[in-house]
Amino acid sequence: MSTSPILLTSRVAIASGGTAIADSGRLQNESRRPMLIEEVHFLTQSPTTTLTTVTYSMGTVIRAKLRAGRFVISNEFIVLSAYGPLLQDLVGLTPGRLDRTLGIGLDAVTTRSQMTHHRWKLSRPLLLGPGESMMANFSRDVDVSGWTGGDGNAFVTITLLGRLADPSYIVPKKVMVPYISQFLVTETAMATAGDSLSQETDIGNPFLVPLQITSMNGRLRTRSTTAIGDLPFDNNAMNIDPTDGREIKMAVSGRNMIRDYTSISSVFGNTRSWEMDLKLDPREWVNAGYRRGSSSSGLQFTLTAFGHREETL
Amino acid sequence: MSVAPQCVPIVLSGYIPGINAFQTLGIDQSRLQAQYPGGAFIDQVRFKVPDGIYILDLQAELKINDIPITRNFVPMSAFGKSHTYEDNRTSPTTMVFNWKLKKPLYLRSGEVLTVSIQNASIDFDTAISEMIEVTYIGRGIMNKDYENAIIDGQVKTYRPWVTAFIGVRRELGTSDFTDRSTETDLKNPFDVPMLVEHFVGRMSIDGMDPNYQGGTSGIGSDAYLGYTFCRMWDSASKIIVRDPTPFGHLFHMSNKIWTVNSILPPKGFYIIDLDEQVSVVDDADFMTPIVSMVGYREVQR
Repeated sequence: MSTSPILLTSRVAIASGGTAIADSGRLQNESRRPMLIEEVHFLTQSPTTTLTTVTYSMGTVIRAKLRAGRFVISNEFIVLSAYGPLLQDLVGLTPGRLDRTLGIGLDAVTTRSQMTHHRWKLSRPLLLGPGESMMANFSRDVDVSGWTGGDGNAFVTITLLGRLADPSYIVPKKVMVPYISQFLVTETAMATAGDSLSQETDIGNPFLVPLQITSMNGRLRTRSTTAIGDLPFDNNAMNIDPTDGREIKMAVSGRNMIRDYTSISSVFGNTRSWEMDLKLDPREWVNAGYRRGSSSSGLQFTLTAFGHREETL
Repeated sequence: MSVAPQCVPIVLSGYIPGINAFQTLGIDQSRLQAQYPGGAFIDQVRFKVPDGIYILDLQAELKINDIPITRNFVPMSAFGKSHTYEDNRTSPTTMVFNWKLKKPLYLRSGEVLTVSIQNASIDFDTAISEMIEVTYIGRGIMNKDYENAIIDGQVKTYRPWVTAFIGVRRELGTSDFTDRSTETDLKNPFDVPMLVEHFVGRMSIDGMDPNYQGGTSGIGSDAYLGYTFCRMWDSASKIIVRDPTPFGHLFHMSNKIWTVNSILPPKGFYIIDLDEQVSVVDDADFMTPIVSMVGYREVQR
């Protein structure tokens, strides 16, 4: 069907608490043939100025909202570290995964030229028609909660990897389009013990066609003057009490997916990703409940669902 | 006419709050029950243990009613591949051992994959006061006719089998040893052929992973990689591993498994022979080799 690999990339600078838009000209399919995007990569670089925080992993504070042509890819700004399963854990020594100096198992490194890499392998290739562009909007949280300052510009590079269709390729009338949705437990809520429940618009199918969910990812972020990064789900450092509850339950249209509150480390495992095959009918949504203990202050839990739906071109 | 299952992803989990030395405990079965009209598939089994030091001591026995899934108790670390290289990070105070089944395990509606947990207390003769959690990742089946199709024999199902050989606990730096599995350790005890998916090779160095570079146990990698050699053959005397091969080469140090995807005939078995030339290792820790066999067989309900 297709033989020519192609890669499109764009890099932007983004300030603490700011937004940026990737150059859509660089993410445009300039060929006369359709392009099939199979992977989206994000590369982040920390500010080059002297940093206030000890450890820094920008992939956890920069978010992306994507749109391909007229198709919506994500329901809101999705944190970059939630794209795809955890890559670095299998390797163990890759920068961006483990802070061995502090021994806190944080997804950040102590040196100050950190780069993090996040790879999203699409469950179905995304067709980008001739002349169409991927629109990528980025936002960066303020580096530390409640902190109006922030270190200098960070950099994020988005890369689209795919193939150009053969000249003989017949464009189908219907194509598969990925969709990402997110349930974010606010940091404010995490400061007190209790339950947070997702809303209808968080993880759901807003379309008029069925949505196939292929995986859900869980992430636990810390954002303080000590460190910015994702944490393993069970860690006695960084003010996380391992006996403190960080549990999740889930249901869809009255059908239990996780009946009893279960620790997030068991649900998402070492890759922090739960592969599944869940069909959401139009307007159907997932009810997720997140239960936390009293020592979760400064943390933020994110549940992200990845899937695809069929759209008419 | 075949019937397709209509599935919804599910997570079933249960736990015990802690376990004494040499104790065996079960998990509340109602939490692990497949309460879906057409039954459920189990795709992954996860064991969450309170620390990375329980490579050997925490063991599990799985069964469905009187049908065994494991041969007695198998160390939780010996079901699936390792995802974390060293499995001994001291500050994340819990570890998750993950077993991803090659073929899903089918449970009929209301059936339970029961699990018993044992603190074998081989490395640590102490009680564990933290929670141990067992989680099944799977799919609930919403259509009853799928279960009927399985009962009628229209649909094939598969059952996994896990069996382990646990070697003798030896002290490093004293003398050399040999160890060998028996005919019942890595065996297919059933009357049908078994597809052996992989072997897991673990080595407990005072309960820790040899890759662990903190403390004195980092030295354990010497025994793991350089001074313990394996040979292997099967019940038909066919050579599987001819020349003495370092343990860490057979069971690669990054994931601890050796994928084989081979057929083991009914009542067939493998023998593994270990030549532990550990007298030269400059350490006084204790090491225990573990080799498990993970496979599955086709069954008719």
